[in-house]
Amino acid sequence: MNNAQLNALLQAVAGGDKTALAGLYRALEKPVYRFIASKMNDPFEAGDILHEVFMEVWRSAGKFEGRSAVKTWVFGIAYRKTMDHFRKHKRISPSDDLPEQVDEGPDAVTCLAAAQEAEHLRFCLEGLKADHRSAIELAFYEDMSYGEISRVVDAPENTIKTRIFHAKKLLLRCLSGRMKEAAT
Amino acid sequence: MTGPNRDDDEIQSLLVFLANDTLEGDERRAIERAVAANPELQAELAALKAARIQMQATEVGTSPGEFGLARLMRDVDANRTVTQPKATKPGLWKIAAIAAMALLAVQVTLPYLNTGPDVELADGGAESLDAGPTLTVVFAATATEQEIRALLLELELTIVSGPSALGLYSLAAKDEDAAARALERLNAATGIVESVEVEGGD
Repeated sequence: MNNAQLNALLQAVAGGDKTALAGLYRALEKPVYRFIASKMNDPFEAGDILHEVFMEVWRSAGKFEGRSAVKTWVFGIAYRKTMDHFRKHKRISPSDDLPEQVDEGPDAVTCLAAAQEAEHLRFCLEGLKADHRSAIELAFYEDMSYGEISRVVDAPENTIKTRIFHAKKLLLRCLSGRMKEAAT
Repeated sequence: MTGPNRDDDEIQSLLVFLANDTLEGDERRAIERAVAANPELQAELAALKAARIQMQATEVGTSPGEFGLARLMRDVDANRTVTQPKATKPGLWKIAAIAAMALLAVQVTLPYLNTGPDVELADGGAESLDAGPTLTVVFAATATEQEIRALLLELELTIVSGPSALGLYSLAAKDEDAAARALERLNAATGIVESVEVEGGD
């Protein structure tokens, strides 16, 4: 479903149209759930957050001004709800500036092989801190541009580039390390 | 945190957006030129593209799907008439989940299968369930939503009330024969059903 179609649904939702809300839910539920669930260990909690997201869509549809794509707007709600959940449960601080050792020269060929292995990729993604991981996931799961990601997470574009810079380095280094470990 | 304040760093970060094909215009051309001139960047781009493909191919569990939609519709209706209550504690939600989702399974699945009575989805209003014999059931604490749903669909039973405070559900069967079959089958489903009895009905 393209943005014009999503926008038409959202306008109808703003007018109190439940059928349009159902249409919007069906169009976006899976990617939004994936985005939330990838950060959670508990599918029930992920389901709860997804529910909160679409309740927020229902309540706030009238406030949407069309300055971003509808999908970006909904993902922004999902991101805030997920981060709020983390803060509330004090599991992690998404803003923690953890020390990072960036390897300047991961073996890219080894990385390619590792990136094709789901298990290695999942392990390495889980090792990223939340805001770095969100940026990479939005780029790769949802094929968002850095401008769209900046609107989803409400951060400047340069911040997104910084997060992507570090996330990519850490991810490739981790993948490279995993493959070397597996080879020994 | 160090940011990508050098050209090389900017190229490094934008490589991700070349991999997902969202770079445009001059920026795209600049990164493509850099990649073309640098075998390491080419290898890195290949790794990033592989990671993207792998991520998109990976399922992250099963989404709530139509169950979630039914829950959403129910709460939207509730939200229209009363102030939306705060979310229940996760623990309570987990305890209630099987019961709630079993109810939602019937509400959602019947219209799509087009095999049941005319149920208007979670609208709080028009439900035109035929009156039939009902069974009172307590599901086992260990029964999963999937097991309960499969059983109810197999027996064409509809949850008409419950769970009560004691965990009792009233299930409607379409006729006496169906109720008798259901009673036998539910009694046999010891891992899913804790107790079952026929309430009767016309």
